[in-house]
Order: sequence, then C-alpha cells, then structure tokens
Amino acid sequence: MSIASFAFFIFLGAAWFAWALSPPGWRLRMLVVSSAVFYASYLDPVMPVAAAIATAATFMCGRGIARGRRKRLILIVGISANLAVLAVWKYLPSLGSSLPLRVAVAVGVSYYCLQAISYLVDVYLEVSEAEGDFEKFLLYMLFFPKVVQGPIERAHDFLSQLDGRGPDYEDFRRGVLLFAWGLFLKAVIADRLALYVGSVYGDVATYRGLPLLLGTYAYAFQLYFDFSGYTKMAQGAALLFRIRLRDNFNAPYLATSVAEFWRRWHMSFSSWLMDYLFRPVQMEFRALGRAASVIALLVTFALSGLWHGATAGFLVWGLLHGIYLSVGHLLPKSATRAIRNIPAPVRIFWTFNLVCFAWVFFRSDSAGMAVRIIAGMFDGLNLPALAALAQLHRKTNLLIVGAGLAVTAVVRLAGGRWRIEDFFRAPPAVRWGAYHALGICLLLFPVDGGGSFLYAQF
Amino acid sequence: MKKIVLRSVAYALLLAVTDFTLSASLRTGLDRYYGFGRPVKVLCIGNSHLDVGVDSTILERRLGVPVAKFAVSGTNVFDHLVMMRAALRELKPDVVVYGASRYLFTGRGRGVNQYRLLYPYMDNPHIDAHVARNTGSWSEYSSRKVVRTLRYNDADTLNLALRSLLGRPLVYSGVVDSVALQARMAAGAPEYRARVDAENVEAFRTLVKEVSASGARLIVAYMPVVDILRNHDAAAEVKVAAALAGAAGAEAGVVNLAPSLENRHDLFYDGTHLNRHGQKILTEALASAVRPALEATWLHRQ
Repeated sequence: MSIASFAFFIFLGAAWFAWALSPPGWRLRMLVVSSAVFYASYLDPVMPVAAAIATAATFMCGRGIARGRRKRLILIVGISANLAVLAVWKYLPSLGSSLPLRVAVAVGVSYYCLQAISYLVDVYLEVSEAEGDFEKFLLYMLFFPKVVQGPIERAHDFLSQLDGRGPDYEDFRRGVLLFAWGLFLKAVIADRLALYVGSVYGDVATYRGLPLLLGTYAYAFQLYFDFSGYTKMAQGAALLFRIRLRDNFNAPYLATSVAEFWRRWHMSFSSWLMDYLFRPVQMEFRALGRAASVIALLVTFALSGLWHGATAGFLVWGLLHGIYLSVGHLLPKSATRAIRNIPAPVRIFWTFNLVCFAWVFFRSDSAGMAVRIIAGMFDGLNLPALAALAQLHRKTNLLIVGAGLAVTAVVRLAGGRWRIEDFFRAPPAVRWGAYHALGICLLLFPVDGGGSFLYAQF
Repeated sequence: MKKIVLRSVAYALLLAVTDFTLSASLRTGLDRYYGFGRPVKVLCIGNSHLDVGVDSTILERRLGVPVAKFAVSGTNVFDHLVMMRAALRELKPDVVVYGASRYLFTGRGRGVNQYRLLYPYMDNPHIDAHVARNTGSWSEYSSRKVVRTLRYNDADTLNLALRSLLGRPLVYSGVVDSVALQARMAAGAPEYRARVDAENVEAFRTLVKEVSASGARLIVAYMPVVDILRNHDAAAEVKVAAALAGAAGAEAGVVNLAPSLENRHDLFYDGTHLNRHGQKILTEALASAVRPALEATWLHRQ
C-alpha cells in the first residue's frame, strides 16, 4: 500500500481513530497493530521475516550491550545480523535468475537496517540507553509512516516521544497540512515531471541534445519532489499520532557547494553516513593527515552509492560525489577563498550542474548508458524533437508543473520569513482559503503515477 | 478530539461540495465538446484521427441535424465498443459514423492507459465495467468512484473540458514536417507499422453487429494518413483494408476518405492527423457520405 494511494488514506483515518479512541495504555499497541497491518498489506511473506530477524536481533543485542559484558563482540554480532539481512533481502534479489531460489526485496530493509545499526552503535557508545520495551522498539523499527523509505530516525529522538500521549488539535492540523503538501509535491509536480523524464530517458537516441539536457534537469527535480513529498507525507502522518520525524531536505538545489548540498539532501541519511561511516573511517586513517579525509570520503560515498543498489551506475554516482568533495577538501585555502568570492547564483548553478551530472549515472540503467546520455546531451540543440515532446506532453502539463514550481518557490521564500505558527494565526478566511486551494489542486491536478516512489526501490 | 472531528467533518463537507461543483462544471464542458446532453441523429465514434479530422459543427450545419462526436485520443477498438454501447444507450442515433484508421486492428493501440480518458463517463454501467476491468489498482478506481473531480485529472481530459467551457476549441494549424517524417520512416519507425490482429477484428465485428441491432445505420469512415506512412508499409495497408471490408460486411458502408487527401501534405498537422484546413475538406466529404444514409433512415421511418 503506497502512502500516496486512496487505500492508504482510508487506512490512515482508521488507524488514527483506533489510536485516538484507545485508552492511553493501549495507544502504542494500536500503533504497532497499524504498522503490522500496513506491512501485511504488501502481501509478501518474506518481508515480515526480514523485519522480525532485524528487529529481534537488534533488540537482544542492544540489551546485551547495555549489560556491559562482551560489548564489542555483541555489537559486531548485531551489526553483522543487520548486514546479513540487508545482503539477503536487498542485494541477493539483484542476482535474479542465477539464484537457486526466489528471494524478493523486503520493503524498507535499507532503512530499518541503518536505524538498527545506529541504535546499536549509540547504545555501545552510551549515547542512548538500550530500550527495554519491545513494543516501543518495534515501533522505532517499523512505524508505518517511515518504514518504507525513512526518514532514518535516531533511537533517542524517536523513542522519547512514545509516551502514550493522545490526540492534539495543533499537531493534527499541522500533520494534515504537511501530509497534503507532501502529496501535492509528489502527485502534482513529481509525477508530472516523470512523464517528460520517462519519454526522454526511454528513447535517448531520438531526444539527444537539448531535450536530453532538459530531461536530466527535470529528473533532478522529479527526484527531489518525489522524495521530499514522501518525507512530508511521512512527517504529516506521524504527526497525527504526535510523533515528530526528522526532515530530509532543506532546499538542496540552492546549495553553493557539493558539501553544502549533502548538508541539505537526504539529511537523515547523510548525517547517518557522517556519524557511523565517515568519522570512524577518518579516525582509522587519521595518521595519514589530509589523505585520511579523502579516503574516508571516497569509501563513504562509494558505499552510499552501493546502498542505493549494487550497480555500476550507483557506484559511479557515489564515487563522483566522493571525488567532488575530495577535490573541495584538497583545494588550497587561497582557492577556497577565491571560490567564496564568486557570486552565490553562479556557485548555485555550478553545484546544481555537478549534481545533475552525477544524477545521470543514478538514473541510467548502466554506466555505459550514462556515458552515452552525457555524450548525447551535447549533440546539438535538436529543436524538432523538443517541439515534438512539447506536443506530446501538452501545454497543460507544462502549465501545471510551472505553476506548481512557482507555488513551491513562494512557499520556500515565505518559509524564510514566516513560521507555520504565523500561518495558523492568520484569519480563518485566509487559512481556509489556503486549505481549500490545496484541496482543489489535489482534486484536479494529480497524476496517476501508481503511487510508487523513486526512493522506495532503495 | 471533538474539535478535530468537527473541523475535519466541516472541511470534508466543504471539499465534497467543491468536488461536486467542479466535476459538474467539467462534465458540462466535456458534454458540450462531445455534443451530448441532447437528442442526436448522427453519432461519430473514434479516436484522435476522427477528433482532429472531423469538425462536428460543420457536419451539423451541412446535415441539418444534431451531431455528437465521441472521439477520445488514444482509444482503441475495444474502448470504442464500450463507448458505442454507452452512447447508443444514451443518445439513440439514426446513423453511427465510426472513424477507422489503419491502426484499427493493431494491438491495443498506440496509447497506454487510455481507459483513464473514459473516467468522466464511469456513471454509465458499460464504461464503469470497462474501466474497472482495465484499472491498475483498487485505489485508482475507487478513488474516482468517490471523488468525482479525480475523473478529470488527465491533462487531455482537463484541457478539453476547460477549453470547451471557455469556448476556446483546440485548433491544429501546423503542417507536417515531411522531411523529418521521411527520415523517421527510413530509420524503421516501428511505432508506425500497422498489422491485423484477430482479436481486434472480432471486436470490430461485434461493434458492427451491435450498431446494426440497435436499428442505426453504420458508416465506417476510413481516415487518411500522410502517404509517406502508407508507402512505407503498403502491404499492411492492403491487409487492413481487406480485413475492414470483411468485418464490416453488408451491415456497414465503408467510406474511404483517404485517397484524395493523403498526398496533400499541406492538409496534415502530423503524419496521422489532419490540420484545420484538412479537417474542413474531410468534414465536407464525410457530410456527403452521411447524407444519403440519413435520408434513407428517414424514408425507412416514413
């Protein structure tokens, strides 16, 4: 069940009523039941098995580490168990027909395994306490709004909110607004951009030149709106139950450097990489001085690429980001100062293009295809193909995407000056007018993208 | 809790009223575009070839009777069978004009998910059953059952409905780029190849029988494409024409509107669709073909 589907809206309403009407002592149990129902809706028997192994192993290892004996060994066992789950239910299926038995990808496995590893390390380092309540721990791992594609939560942030609190009007209206806004980003903007991207990337020979370049830019925005839309929906759905989830995005395409891009893009994942991969690797090689950071960057981003999938395209995408950051790290201070003096719009444009260049490898079926696409982008303007695409996708689509982007830009600009509290203090006519406008957009302009999200496949 | 429920119900009611108003307005626009909502004598059914190729206002003027044109882009013969059943039931026309193209018997057509374009008419049981059969998911179908405005969220449908409401019809005024099309043919262009699939022929035969059983006369109008396409795939053209004549049998008259137009590239918007100028010429030719059938029905009634 996709969280952008009609079935999910009905499920969410039912889950909320079950939770809100339960006595305080039963509220967490209701959330566990709802999460189980949500997970069961995928109708795949292997998914609960993968989730059960990861959850049970992590819970027991966490308790073992907290007891203080053979901490390091238990930590290694716990991490290994999660890596094994990841290997079996994420990477083995990619081997496909060469396997003697069918293994399916378990939904959400990449996300809850990373959460599990961070939990174990935090308990080991005594940053967090081991959770003693299995019900709460189960929710930390498998809470339904975030189980499919995050955000990747930290245990102490999430578990501290599970205190059986009941419904609250402020959280409810914020949650509904966030959820609806996320749905707008996904169904109105991302899925409409997907129509253009799908045409161009589906026939790169015909759409070489400018259509391919614009298709790559469109893909960058499709990916962003698809994933940030999901995150907002997940945050909104969680807030209905008075649980705050981390944000994943902070206008990443306005970053003035690749390093800043990674502080703004998929933040729950990038901070996980920083804390549990980059820093330990950097510490390991610290004797090498500046080279330690370069090694740590390359290792971290290569693994980050492979986390998305075991393909050459993802590996090259990760390594490209590792190289961008390493070059930035190795630049002499005078060069860094000179770059800082370049006007911000130029740096934003440059960074965006570097990121888009890497996205080509991320989107392509293979690294070879990506190279062909990059070569094709600079093969003339090909205006007839662009005109044919415009005709194929109609002015209506272009208008809706354009209007949607304008609205998100306005919300982004307004967000710098106003807070959501200011909006809720506005006169009822303004608030209800805004709710209504959003509702009409969601009625009139969504695209049937099948409810699937790009990042759910990772 | 009480405040949450009350506000939620209030907003849901507001949204329901909006949904009803919006969908009713869009439905009015679409009905106006297709010529529904009034008794008609001539019903045209087809896909974009017919939609772009025939101006129903001119046809109405020439024939002196109300005409409905239920032509939906991307639809195939299986969709047309359902559209025809729905329209026959609602409109009870004397003459049915079926817009056939050389791709009539080629698989499921060139579009995908074209059943979605029929969502606005899912209140009709024939169309409802058809979209329910073809729908991708329970969510997609049931959301449209409950929320009526969602039936119009396809860009083409929305565009048609709004343009019709605003009185601004879409005009195809460009001319096909013959050189580019020629080059595309030279490169193979598998998407332009036509073939004859038995399943499609059977569906068409059913359509002919059902129109005949309803008492209406059927005219199959064979729509033109640029001769570049026909020459590229001449053998298929012969097979399609033979299959069409065979399936139409004695119950339907096949009018070939193609020969005089196909070498006039200035009349085409692209390889398969006429432009505004071509549309006028084709509509006049169609009116001449329909008039005798219409008169025959009147004579038959008298």
